[in-house]
Amino acid sequence: MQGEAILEVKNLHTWYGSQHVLDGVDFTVNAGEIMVILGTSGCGKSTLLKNIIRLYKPAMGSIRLLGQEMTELEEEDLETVLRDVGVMYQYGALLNSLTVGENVALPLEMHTSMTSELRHDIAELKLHQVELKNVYHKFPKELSGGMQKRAAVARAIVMDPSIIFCDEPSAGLDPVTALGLDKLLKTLNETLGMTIVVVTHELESIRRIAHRITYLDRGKVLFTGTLQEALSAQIPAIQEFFLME
Amino acid sequence: MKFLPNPPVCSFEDGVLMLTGDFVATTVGDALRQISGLKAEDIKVIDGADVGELDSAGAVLVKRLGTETTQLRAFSENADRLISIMPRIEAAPPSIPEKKIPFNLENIGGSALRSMEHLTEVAILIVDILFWSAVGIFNRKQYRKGSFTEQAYYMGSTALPIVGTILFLIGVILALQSAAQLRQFGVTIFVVNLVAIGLSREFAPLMTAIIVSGRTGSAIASEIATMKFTEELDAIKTLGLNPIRFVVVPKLWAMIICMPLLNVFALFIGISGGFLVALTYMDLSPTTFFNQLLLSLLFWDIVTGLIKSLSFAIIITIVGVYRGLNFTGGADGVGRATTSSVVTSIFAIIVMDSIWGILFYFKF
Ligand SMILES: Nc1ncnc2c1ncn2[C@@H]1O[C@H](COP(=O)(O)OP(=O)(O)O)[C@@H](O)[C@H]1O
Ligand SMILES: [Mg+2]
Repeated sequence: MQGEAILEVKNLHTWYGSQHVLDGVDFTVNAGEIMVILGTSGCGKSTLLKNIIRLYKPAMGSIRLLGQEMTELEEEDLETVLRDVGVMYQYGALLNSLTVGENVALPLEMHTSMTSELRHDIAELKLHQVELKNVYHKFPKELSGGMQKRAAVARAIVMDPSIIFCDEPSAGLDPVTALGLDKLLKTLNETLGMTIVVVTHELESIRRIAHRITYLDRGKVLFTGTLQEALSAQIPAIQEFFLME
Repeated sequence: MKFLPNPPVCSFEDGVLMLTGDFVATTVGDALRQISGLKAEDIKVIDGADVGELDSAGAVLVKRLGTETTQLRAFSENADRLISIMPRIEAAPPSIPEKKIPFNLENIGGSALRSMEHLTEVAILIVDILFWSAVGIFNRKQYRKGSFTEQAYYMGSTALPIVGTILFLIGVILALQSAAQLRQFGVTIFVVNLVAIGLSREFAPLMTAIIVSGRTGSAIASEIATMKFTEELDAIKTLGLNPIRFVVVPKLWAMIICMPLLNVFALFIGISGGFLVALTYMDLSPTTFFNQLLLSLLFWDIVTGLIKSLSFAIIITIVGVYRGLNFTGGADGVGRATTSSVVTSIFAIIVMDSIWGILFYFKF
């Protein structure tokens, strides 16, 4: 499976009203890699992710995720595909009405018929993996921002998905916590072979985890390749981005 | 900056615009007014020899005055540098009229058109909510233990103090006002009828609904708007849950159960207010009061109030949910959703109340 395309986006177009947010996006993610999507804020990264997981149907284009054409799937089949996909949203998006543990266990509850004890144990294990202890019965509001993001990662990986999408996982976190999250993603990638698509601005983070990067600029892909290739490619917008440090 | 800048003077001759005085934040408006008639293409040269102070506002002004080809002449070195780092501001593109015009009397025409759009959306939402509420009774798949009771507790019992206080006062006022009138005819005993009927058919359901829309309707709107903002609703969808079913249905059921109960409570407290006035101010005996109460307050009056409060419960929930889902923007959008939910639901409640009033008048 390693190396095959797990996600292929072709000629994707999306409008919000009259705003052409995604203007013919093409990119491919191979199984087992960590792909970082970057670009200035407002360039459409979150929109791209939301299109891929079909929260919004794009106006035009093709998205092949895990062998399925996402733009044409029926609801039931969509649910089957999404079972194998983890998503970590920009703001964590834990459900505030549930405890942290229930949040993490929720995908298990929705998609499997396992007993509640088993769900509890798996959720605890995943919380342990993201280095969160004694939070199962706390509510998301009682956790700090960084802890909420970790919990969100735990929820994203609880079904052992083939691919996870993380929208700005380290935004707003202190460097130590951000480093911890990066390590976590790297571990998941190396030990479980999970494909990871990360949206991030943090250069440090990109250096640490990215196998390849995709640079998005005003709804278009300017570049896809490794960080080295990006730095040597003579593309002004990208050079500016990396010189900002 | 100087304490009092010299007033700017702009004079135009043969394509040369002469600037004199200080061009700073407090004066550029004045300068703009002086040259409002000029066309950018006509300005060939801008002369800054007599410019005193120039700050970034002045620099933006100078940058905007001419076109790409306009020459700048004799500005000081500092002014030149400041002007050169200002980006050229393109003429603002024609704004797309997507902005929502707030509801007020002058805008009734426009909002009438917009409300047609709203109405179709609301209709779809109502069908969705009612469908899933009904399904929820038979199929508990996405039901979470405690979500309904928690909502009901918050909506119901925590509203008791304020509903009680307000309705007690309304009972007192109603009794006092009608006593003052009825005394002239020597029939103060009918105060009991007025209080009982007025409260059961009108005041108890209406006031309860207004209070609840301020407390709970707004809370529903802000909660759902926040959930949209923090992508919680997106997460719910990708996890395979139905947001209406998971978030809205428990709220609707809680409202449907709580409102009639609150209404009965409100009626009871309101009548005690009237009772207090009857005892102290009108010298009616408790027995007379209760006898008259039993004579005047028919079962149907109470049912009328309950029917009304049920409909208000549905209105408040749906308006709150709709405003929450329609949220746009950031944190201020949450505030706007909250406010508009209260305004809309009070409006809708009163319209609904009049409809019921007419129906009940003719039918019953
Ligand atoms: N729900 C929405 N409705 C209208 N415009 C939106 C919506 N979401 C995002 N946008 C706009 O689309 C553009 C891209 O947004 P987004 O994908 O969130 O950017 P990024 O994640 O790269 O910062 C922005 O200009 C944003 O204002
Ligand atoms: Mg984003």
